[in-house]
Amino acid sequence: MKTLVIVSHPQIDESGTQNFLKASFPQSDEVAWHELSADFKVDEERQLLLDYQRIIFQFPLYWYSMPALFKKWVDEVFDGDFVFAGETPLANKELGLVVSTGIAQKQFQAGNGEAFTISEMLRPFEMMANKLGMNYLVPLMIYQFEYYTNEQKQGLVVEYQQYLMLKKFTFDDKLQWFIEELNQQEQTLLAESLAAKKVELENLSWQVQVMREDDGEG
Amino acid sequence: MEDIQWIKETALKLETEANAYENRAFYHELAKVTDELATRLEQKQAELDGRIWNHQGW
Repeated sequence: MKTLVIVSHPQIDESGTQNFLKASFPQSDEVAWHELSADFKVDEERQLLLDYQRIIFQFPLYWYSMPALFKKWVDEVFDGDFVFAGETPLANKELGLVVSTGIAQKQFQAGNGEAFTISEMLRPFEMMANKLGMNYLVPLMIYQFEYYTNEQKQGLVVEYQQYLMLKKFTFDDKLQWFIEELNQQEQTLLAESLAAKKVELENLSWQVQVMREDDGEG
Repeated sequence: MEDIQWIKETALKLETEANAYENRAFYHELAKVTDELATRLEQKQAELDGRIWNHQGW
């Protein structure tokens, strides 16, 4: 699976969040970082979209939406003649979002400052994905990065890499990612030990499922 | 759970030895995911034990 991360930020060089994400970007041929420029070429952008399976829109939340250049990109690249032509070229690809905001997470709920949840605010993107036949991923939200502790930043490094590279986001898949990364780092004993515990968990889960079914609990 | 403890301790040791921030983050998160793994193993085993030893099923 190849992932294309399309990044747009009006002052990207000054953005601590975007610089952190760029530094955390996986070292892999399977993922590509693509910063939008004002003079983007529509045909080139469309070809990029065709070449990748997972498309990530990465941007700061500006007035509950994407920055202007990104919106211009969507309007021009997602022209009806392209996205609805023939076999609908984006169908069955995945659309994910990596969105940063300077507002605290707790504000995004009914009765609080922003009144609506992030899911509700990002609904237009989900609608876009549905219209294009794309599978919409749960967004990766970054709330108030400037206040992140070192531990939170460490968590973000791994969460971001997994968001770009994992086919699925179950606990099993995350474990497998750690195992593969350990093997790449030649920490073979650690990888084997972790793999053994993963198998143990799978076996236990299977046994529990069988007993639940025997007890009529499905 | 000794082997799980060994995995966690090794991950934390590698975190202190890593030079690159990304590698330190990786091992720190590995230690955390090991805790989650231990919890899940314990929960599944406990449920299995509970169902096996449920006298109503005998």
